[in-house]
Amino acid sequence: MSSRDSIGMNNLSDSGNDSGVEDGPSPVNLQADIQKIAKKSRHRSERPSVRLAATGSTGVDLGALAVLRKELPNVDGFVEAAPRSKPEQKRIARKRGYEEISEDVNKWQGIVHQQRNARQLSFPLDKNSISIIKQDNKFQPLMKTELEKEMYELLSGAEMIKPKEESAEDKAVREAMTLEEVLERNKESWRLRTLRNKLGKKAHIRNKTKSKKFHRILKKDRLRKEASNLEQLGKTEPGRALDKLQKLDEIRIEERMTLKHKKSKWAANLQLRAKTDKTALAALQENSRLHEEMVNKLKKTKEEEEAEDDSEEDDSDTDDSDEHDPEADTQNSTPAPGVQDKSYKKMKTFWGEYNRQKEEEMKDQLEEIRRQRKQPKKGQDEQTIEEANKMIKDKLKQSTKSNKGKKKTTCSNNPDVNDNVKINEYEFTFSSMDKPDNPMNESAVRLRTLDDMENFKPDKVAPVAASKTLKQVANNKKKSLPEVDASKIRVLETKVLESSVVKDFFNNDSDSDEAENDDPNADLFDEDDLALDEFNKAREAAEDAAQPKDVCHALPGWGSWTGPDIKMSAKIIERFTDKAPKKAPSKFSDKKNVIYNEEADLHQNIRNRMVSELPFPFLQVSDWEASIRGPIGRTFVPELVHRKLIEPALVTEIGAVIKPMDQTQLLKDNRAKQAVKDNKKTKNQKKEEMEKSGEKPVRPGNQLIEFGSSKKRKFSRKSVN
Amino acid sequence: RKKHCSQTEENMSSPMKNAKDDSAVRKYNAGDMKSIRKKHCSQTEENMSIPEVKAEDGSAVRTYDTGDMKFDRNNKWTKKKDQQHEGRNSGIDAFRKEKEEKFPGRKPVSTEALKKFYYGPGMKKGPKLTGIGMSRRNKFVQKEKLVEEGRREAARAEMLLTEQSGCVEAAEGFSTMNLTQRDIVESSDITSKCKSFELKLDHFGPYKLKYFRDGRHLALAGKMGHLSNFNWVTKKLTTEINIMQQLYDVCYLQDHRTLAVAQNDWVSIYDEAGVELHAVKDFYNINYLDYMPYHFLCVALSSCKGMLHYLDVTLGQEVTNITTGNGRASGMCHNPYNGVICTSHVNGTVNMWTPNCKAAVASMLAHKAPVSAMAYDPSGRYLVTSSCRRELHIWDARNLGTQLHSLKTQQPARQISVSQRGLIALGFDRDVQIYRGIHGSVVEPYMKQSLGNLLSQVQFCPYEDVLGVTTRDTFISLIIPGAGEANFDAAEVNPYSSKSNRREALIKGLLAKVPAELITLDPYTVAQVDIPTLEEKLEAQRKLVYVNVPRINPKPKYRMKGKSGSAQTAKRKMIRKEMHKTRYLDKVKKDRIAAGLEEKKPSSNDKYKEKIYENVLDRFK
Repeated sequence: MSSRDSIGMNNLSDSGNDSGVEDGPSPVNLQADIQKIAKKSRHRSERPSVRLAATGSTGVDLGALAVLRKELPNVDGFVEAAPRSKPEQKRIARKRGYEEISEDVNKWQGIVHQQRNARQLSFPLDKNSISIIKQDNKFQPLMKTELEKEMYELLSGAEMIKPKEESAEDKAVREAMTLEEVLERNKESWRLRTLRNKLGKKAHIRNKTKSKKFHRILKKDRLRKEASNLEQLGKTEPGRALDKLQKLDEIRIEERMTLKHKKSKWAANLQLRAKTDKTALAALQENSRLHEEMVNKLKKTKEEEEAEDDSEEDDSDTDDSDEHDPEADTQNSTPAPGVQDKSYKKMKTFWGEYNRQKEEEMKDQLEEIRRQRKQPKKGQDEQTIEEANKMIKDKLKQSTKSNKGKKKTTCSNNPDVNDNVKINEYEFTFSSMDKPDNPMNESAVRLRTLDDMENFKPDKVAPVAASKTLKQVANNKKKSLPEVDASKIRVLETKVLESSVVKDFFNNDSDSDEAENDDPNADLFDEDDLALDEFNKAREAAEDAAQPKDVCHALPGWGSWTGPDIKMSAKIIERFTDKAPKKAPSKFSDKKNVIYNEEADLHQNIRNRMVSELPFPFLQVSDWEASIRGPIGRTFVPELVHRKLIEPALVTEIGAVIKPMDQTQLLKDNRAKQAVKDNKKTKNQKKEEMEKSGEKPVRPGNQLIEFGSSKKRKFSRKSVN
Repeated sequence: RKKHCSQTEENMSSPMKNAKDDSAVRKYNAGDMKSIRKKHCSQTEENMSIPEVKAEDGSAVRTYDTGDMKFDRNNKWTKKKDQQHEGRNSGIDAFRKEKEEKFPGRKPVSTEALKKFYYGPGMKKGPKLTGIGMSRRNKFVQKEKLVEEGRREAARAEMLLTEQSGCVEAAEGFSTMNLTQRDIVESSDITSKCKSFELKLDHFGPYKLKYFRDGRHLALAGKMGHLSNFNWVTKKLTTEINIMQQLYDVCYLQDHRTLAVAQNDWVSIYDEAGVELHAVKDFYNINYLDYMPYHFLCVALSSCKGMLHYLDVTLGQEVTNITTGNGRASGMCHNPYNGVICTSHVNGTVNMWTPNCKAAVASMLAHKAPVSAMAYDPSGRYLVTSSCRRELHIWDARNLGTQLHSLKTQQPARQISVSQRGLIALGFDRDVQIYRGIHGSVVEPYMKQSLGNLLSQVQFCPYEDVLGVTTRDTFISLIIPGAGEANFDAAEVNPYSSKSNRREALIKGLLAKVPAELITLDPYTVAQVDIPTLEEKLEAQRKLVYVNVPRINPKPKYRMKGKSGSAQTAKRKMIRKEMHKTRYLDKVKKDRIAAGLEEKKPSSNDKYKEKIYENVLDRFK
């Protein structure tokens, strides 16, 4: 095969990959997850083995132990520890269990945190439908002008744009199954397993049945069925039916070649007796010898038969059969060769005759088959199955022979008939950006034979054309945009205006005394003013009324004399007076021109409507008051903010079943995170590569990657936040 | 003389600053910034050349500082950032950097705008919360962020207010006071010209006027019984009747079609066809009428009797009536900020009332002479009062008793009105003067207009640069540039509303009706904790934690036939004590359950009680 052939192979595989990539739910990081799990399980499985080695229990491979010793850091101090006590073992198991479970539970932590802190929860939860669109496959440049189209075609024809090569990682990701697929596969395999078991049991029971008649009927039935099947197959697919027939024959022959008769009950009994009874031993030996002879003879006949067969292909089957030496089997089964006896001779003669008969029969059959293959017969009507088989075989043979001429060039399923060198169909495409839906592509040539391949040469016209158009493009540069004339923009001049105060406007004909009023509050409250006096009195009275008063409980006549002119002692009054607490100064107490009635202002009516208990979970009045300070209504804040402010904390879909969260949500979350990581990684890698090679990111392919990454980032931000 | 109508009020106060801002916007758009920013970012070498850039194009650099971004004058940020970039040396960062340079993100919100939407201090960094985990704690942090976002977005939405209100600015050596209506009308467009007009109403005056909230409708009530309601912009008459009684005041109710009129004896309510819908006979001898649209309250004041009435128009019932005292009331208005009613009195005080209490919530000595007129500005932040001694005081309405301006006028002002943009109209006997600068430090005269007859009332029209003035025999509509708010909020009040809009607004208004009990000086009171009650409750709870059963000393009755032996008596005493104890503890238990200190045990009877469901469908749970 030439190197071209290999190129062709590559191309073929590439096209296969392309078709394989789809936009469905892709197994993005499942592979990574699987790897993690596998690592974990490996970790787990390793630990007990190490412990086993350490305990030095029996059955440990010493070689493995030696390796382990080497691996262990402290070689000299390595002493085989005594087996751990049961409570200790339990404790370790518990600890490990705890670790595993805590790890299992902790993986939910992120999503729980996310859900708890979310401003709004909506149920049912979103279906986990994350898909990553491969930019390379999806991207189709917007080509508005003819020039652009031409450019693009030329570039693609000249192999300027190369498809993104699929990395091993990407391939693995693509080929990895989604969780659903894995589950489905598991389910399917389980179903098949159970079915197999069921059928196996059924067959077992049936085989155990001791009735010979039943088995005979069964066999007959089976054979009849097979015959009918074969007949049908002969009608629809003659080639396959012929194959099957041949196989059946071979099976029959091989069955005779097996040691079934040797491993019979008789042989087993004889073998038991052979320890003591020499005749038994001899009989066995004779038996084996006869068998050997027979096998050799059969082999010879088979070789002859194959030599006679008209096939040019080299048969690997015969090699296989050579490798599989039946003598080895006989050696194993026969306990002691070289011992002879009379009974053995008898047995030998018996078996010899029996075998000879069988052999002759077989030979006849084989000969018949051979004859039939060469000279088909017609019009036989025998009722046995074998006869029917032959008939079908003949028919099939005839049909294949008639088709031989046509089928020779194309590949066929029949190995006997296929005598041509196999050549697969290769497709050579030199523009990898060609879409499969472009039927008019003339660059693709289909090669069928080796001759075609040798004659084929790719054309070298495209690159030249590409360079030509590039030059054209350079000449036809776009006209520059009309520039904005800066001088035409009018600039408003702002003029500072002098304040035009008519100073003595207020006091045209007023007294000069009153006119001079620098301090507005200076003469506002003259002390000799009647209005002011009145007001002050009222103010004091109001203040007094507002102050809570002392209550005196002292009664005259208690503990001292009382009468019209007798006053109570100040001591007693003081003693029996409940002093009212001093009231805090009111809102406007520092303003002398204001009487403020707090009781009237903060009336009980409004107090009833105020909050008199600090709402949960606040501990400070100011905090709660601050928490409700912002307006909500759409007349106070813009509509969008208003909607944000009033959006419900929980949204449910009417009529939808709300299922609990499952692992896929977790996967989604991880995927999102992983996507961010991957994105970063690939970017950094690419950058490094670029720096090493000293390239500049000018190729369109790179730009595509940038777009893709930006899209990814957007997506991840959305899901993570 | 130069007219410059395009600038905002802020522009006037600090023209220099705004000039900068303008240039900033221009530069931002023109893309000069980009190059400068690149220079900032790219390399340290180029950082050295920045001073030159500044020198060349100072304004551009300055704009950059005023903008949001991460640059300060000393370029500290850039240097740091550059080092980081070099350290990482990654293409992603470079890409990001480039992207940031190309698309610097949304335009930052100016701090000025943010100040306007300040809702108060937020929750502290680590709010003291109890009994919740981190995730629920995070929810509060999230909420806090959302509130901040709402504030920012609301501030950002300010730029959608495309209309700009202006003012007449005089050139040096000129005064706006010399401007006459004729000058203004001559230099304005046709639609504005239409807004200046005069109605001759010489038979039924003097007239009271009220503009409706949307600034389109006008009600006029002549003392001699002439009542008219019309769209003054289109001059389309809605109602015109003669009630054949003396009319003292008029006010619109929830929409422009119903009018409350203070008549000879009582208050009547008329619809647009002039049909008397309702006669409120309890409101007797009313001089002043006012309406609070958010509370659906019609307020009436009888100055001679000193009675203040509140009428809930949704129920048609009087909420309360209050005796004002303090002598004759010379005026009444409501504070749009909190719904408190103010009455001015001859003893120089301004009293404030809420329907909750018969006593005044606050009383302020505004003048030492009788108060002649007063008015709130439409935002409820300023109170303007005038006295018979020709004083004019401007007060901070939220900080009671704090005087902002004190001025002397030629005559005592009989009428005051404050426009949406803060122009003060003072009505004197035969002329009207307009002042400006209520928000600033200097109140200066702006315009004046002399009248042919004795003035009756002045009022600014909302959302229009118009001042309505009534005299004994005329109604004059004066154009006062810069009076009205240029941007109306259609959700609040829509001058161009259709019939369905009005209906919708009415229903929405009813749904959002503020109960009369909530009226108080500080409207944010409802959003606060009632601390005295809270303390009381806590104290009561504290008392319930440890209980001592008070001791008693029962004295059983003396019984005959040897039943009051010492042993028997002691036994009976014991029984009484036990009974007292159990009863007392039962009572305490009930209290504790009520206070939430203890949980109630379900009794066996509860099972058989019929359950009461909140929702009909709950029974299927």
